Amino acid sequence: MDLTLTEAQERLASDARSRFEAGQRPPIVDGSLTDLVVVARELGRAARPSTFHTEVLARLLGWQGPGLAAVALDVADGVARFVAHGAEADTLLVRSGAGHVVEIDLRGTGPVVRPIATIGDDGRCDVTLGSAATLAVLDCDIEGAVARAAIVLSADAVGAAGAALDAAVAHVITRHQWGAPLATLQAVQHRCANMLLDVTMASDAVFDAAGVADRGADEDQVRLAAAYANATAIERCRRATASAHQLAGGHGIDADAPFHRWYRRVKAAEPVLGDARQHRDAIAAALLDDQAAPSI
Amino acid sequence: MDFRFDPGIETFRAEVRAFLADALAGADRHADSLDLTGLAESYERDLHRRAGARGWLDLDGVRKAVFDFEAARCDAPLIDTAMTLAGHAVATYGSPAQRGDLLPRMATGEVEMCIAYTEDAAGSDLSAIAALASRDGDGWVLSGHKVLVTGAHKADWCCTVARTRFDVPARQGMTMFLIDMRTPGVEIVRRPTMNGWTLDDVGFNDVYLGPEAVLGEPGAGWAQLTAAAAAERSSMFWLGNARHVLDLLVALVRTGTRDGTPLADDPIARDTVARFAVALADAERLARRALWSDITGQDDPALPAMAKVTATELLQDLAQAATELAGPAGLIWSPLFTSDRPMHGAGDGRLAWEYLERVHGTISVGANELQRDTIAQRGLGLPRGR
Repeated sequence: MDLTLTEAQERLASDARSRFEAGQRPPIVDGSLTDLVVVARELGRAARPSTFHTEVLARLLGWQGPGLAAVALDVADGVARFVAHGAEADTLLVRSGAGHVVEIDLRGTGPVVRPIATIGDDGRCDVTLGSAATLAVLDCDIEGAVARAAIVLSADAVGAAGAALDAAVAHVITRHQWGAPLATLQAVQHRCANMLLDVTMASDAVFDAAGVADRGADEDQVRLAAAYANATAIERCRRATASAHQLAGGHGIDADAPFHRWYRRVKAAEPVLGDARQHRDAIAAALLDDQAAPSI
Repeated sequence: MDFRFDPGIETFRAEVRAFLADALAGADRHADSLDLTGLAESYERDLHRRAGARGWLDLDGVRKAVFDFEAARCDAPLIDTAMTLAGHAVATYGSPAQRGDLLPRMATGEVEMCIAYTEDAAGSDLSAIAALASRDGDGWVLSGHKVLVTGAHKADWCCTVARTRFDVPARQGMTMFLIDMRTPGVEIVRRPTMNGWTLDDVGFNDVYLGPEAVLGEPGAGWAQLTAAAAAERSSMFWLGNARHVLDLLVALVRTGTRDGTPLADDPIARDTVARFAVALADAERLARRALWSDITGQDDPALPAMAKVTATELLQDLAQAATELAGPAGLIWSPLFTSDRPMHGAGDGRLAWEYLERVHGTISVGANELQRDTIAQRGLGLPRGR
């Protein structure tokens, strides 16, 4: 058992945060999945969107190019729907019929990228591929990449929930009503306590799953660990960001206040991660449908 | 980050499981449903001595947590041992004579202890304790009435606390005592709880105590009590209970039917099972984080409270969900051990027992409301409440 991050990992997080605040894209380090989780959690704290998860997924799919590659694994009738950061991306990675991933040029004249109005801040677009040029074919384990990227996206949600908790705590300590800080009210304290429980358990689940992948467990175990982490992170982080809103009160719904950024961010991750019920479906199958006694 | 225990710990766990499986075979023949453990005192004492001979009553850190988990998982009467209840207080505050006399025998299972702090008017607020120990020559005369005491009827010694001065605030006027239960004036009344077993009232009727009965410093009882309570138990044993009930829930859904349809084909039953598997995995990680904080000396004061809240509420939720899925069979009750189990009970009557049993977890050892105060104030730096 070792539940600490290394100094190098702490540094990775602070370096990524500095670069992000300076308007750069933090590099995708060639380290462990835990390293990526560390960075994603830190960037998740920011009240503006990052493309980190999209970049991680592209890298895990084997893409090495410069610029930004959006990912749309499922394309129907020549249209890739719901592509995160589609308008910013240079290329698009789509699943080909043969189970490969194909890189498509988004900068040419063929594809049409149409932004969609969503409640997320992650630049969703529909992309009509048209006569887009194929740039490369990538050979990779798509399911493995998706499971690992989902762990990284859960870490982003944990960052958002943690930042929302910190902001809510700062608010209730400084905001006075009836002559005393809101934080002296037991109902307020207990809501904060529940948020800390949620954030702590979500974070630990995500790091545990990353550790399973890093230790080279077989792919069934990695996918199951990802399901456990995502199932709990989605619900707990969503609840924590909603609680932060409640504690922030009326001013919290100002567009300039950061709370709705975290609230949106976690919600927008939900369909990408697969909602919690889908993950529980996989967990139930492992517990109920195998003859052998399950274990994790 | 790695939440797994070291391989040596898992070897130890396997050893404990093998021992307990062997030791508890036939335990139903020694049932005593009036005891919290569900087992007869003679059987429990024998098991304590056998575990003590292996050094297992005097574990600490990860081994203690793993031992508690495995004992709870199979209902072994090894949770409320003398060392667990009072070992910290005796070892930390005991005089050389008290330590030398009691600790070795507590560790071998020869001496059983109870802790008697709570009173009718002093539950969560122990500063309201009214038991009074007055000076009498070198010694003391103790009068008072303690309630909700676990296992006083079978204890050899009692660790208790009383006011020794009323001219100073309660926190400076309390003293802990170690009392031989055979001392004249100690009176025990067993009271049945809602789940069939008994807790004890302990009356101290002008009990004369020599100066050697003081545990620690006169007047330091409050500070000692606070530290001792924090060290009383890890949350790991609750998770052993939770693992047991989750296993029963999985078995119920794998084999049960409702209105002629297998529960294993019911999407809601399946989702329920997965939901609790996820919640238990979360709670186990949290308990390990609390353990890690303890063994590395970080001693984050919020983590034990977080682990306690999570484990005890998980147990209540599990009992509710499992009995609901079981339908009428979820109402059929059986004590933990019996050679006469009722027919058709879900989990052999265990799930209904759970539903009643898990009420007190969120109340005892610091009500969860107080634990959440601790989490907010010590974990997040919020000010004291109003």
